[in-house]
Amino acid sequence: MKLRIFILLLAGMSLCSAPCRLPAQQEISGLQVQEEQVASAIDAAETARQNAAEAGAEWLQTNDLIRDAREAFGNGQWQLALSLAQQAERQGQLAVEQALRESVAWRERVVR
Amino acid sequence: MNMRNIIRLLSLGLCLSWPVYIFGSPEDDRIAFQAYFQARFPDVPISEYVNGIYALDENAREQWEQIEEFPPYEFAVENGELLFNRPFANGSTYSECFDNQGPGVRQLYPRFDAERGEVITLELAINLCREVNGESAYSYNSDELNSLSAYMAWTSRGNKIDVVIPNDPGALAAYESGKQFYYSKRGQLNFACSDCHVISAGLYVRADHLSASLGHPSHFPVYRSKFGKMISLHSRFYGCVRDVRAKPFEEQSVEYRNLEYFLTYMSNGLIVNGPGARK
Ligand code: HEC
Repeated sequence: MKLRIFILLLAGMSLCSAPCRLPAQQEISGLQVQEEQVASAIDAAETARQNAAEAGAEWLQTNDLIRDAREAFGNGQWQLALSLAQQAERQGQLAVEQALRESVAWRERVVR
Repeated sequence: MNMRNIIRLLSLGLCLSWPVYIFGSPEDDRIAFQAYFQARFPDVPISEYVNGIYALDENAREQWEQIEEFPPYEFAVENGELLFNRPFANGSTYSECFDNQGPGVRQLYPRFDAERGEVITLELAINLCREVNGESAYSYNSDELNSLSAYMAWTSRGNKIDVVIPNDPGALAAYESGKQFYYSKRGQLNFACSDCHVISAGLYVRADHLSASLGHPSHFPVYRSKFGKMISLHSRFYGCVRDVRAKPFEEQSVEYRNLEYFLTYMSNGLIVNGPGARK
């Protein structure tokens, strides 16, 4: 009898594990990441993207990353949203650095 | 101060500190550009570069010559001729907008319009002509525009490319900005046009055999079998910029028009042989 209950319990746990664990994890990540932190990471990413665009140097996927970050944020996936926004911000910064570097470096490549 | 101004200031600072750089005239650039390929591929006559990769790739060339026996762009030339000669609603025609009434002028584009202070490509000139006559502009990748441009290239075959950079600060600035665009690394992959089409011309990137930029503008618009349709030069720019994972600019943007101005000047003296056919 005890064994049967134990087995049922095990079965129940394993059945439940996939669907039951996800929201729990999200809650944990929700606790780790503050809502404002995500919102400001998205703002920072958008600013970095705009700086890159202004330099004529925006990368292909930066805008998509920001769009995905916003979507994840809207769905309550804060950890994911944060990580996407940080990637986008990094891309924007790297693109600006690239433009600054190239504003000088291109001349060395001119065929002469 | 915004980013673009910082970058302008930086480049200006460099010009002042290394004056030798700004004394390269467009004509010096062109001579050096053509001499580079002459030295790199001594067996390939300069006049061959109008054939793109087929100037450098014997095997691909045979296939291409077979395609050219039944040119897939013929329908576009015919359609272009019809469109060109069809009067606008106000009764006037394209011929009133162009030198020589239109045919045989491809080699003069792009040109610098001093009044407007900008580079006018053939496609833009066609659309400006439409607008001046009360018609709406075509979208830049439309079959109509590519057909008109195909017809105008066809009637210019054999004419020597003759892009002029007048002694006008605006024209020189447009040329310089096109040149800077061409030689600047961009995108996540950090490539400049010259990395592929100068330094690596004749080599392979993955399965693609890279052509020289010399002669690139001579044969557009081009029928791409990959897409089953005619495409413009700017559509190629768009694709190559995208391939290095940079956000592409729109067709006929100032950036691409200036790039075309520089690139076509590099091919001055070669002949127009458009429209073309490519994989
Ligand atoms: C990573 C390498 C790479 C870079 C960088 C690159 N291209 Fe290309 N490009 C290609 C390949 C591959 C093709 C197709 C094969 C060929 O014709 O070279 C091509 C084709 C073209 C063509 C059509 C050639 C023809 O004969 O019809 C043009 C025009 C062109 N590129 C312009 C540019 C310009 C302008 C830039 C810079 C904005 C650029 N490319 C950057 C790889 C590159």
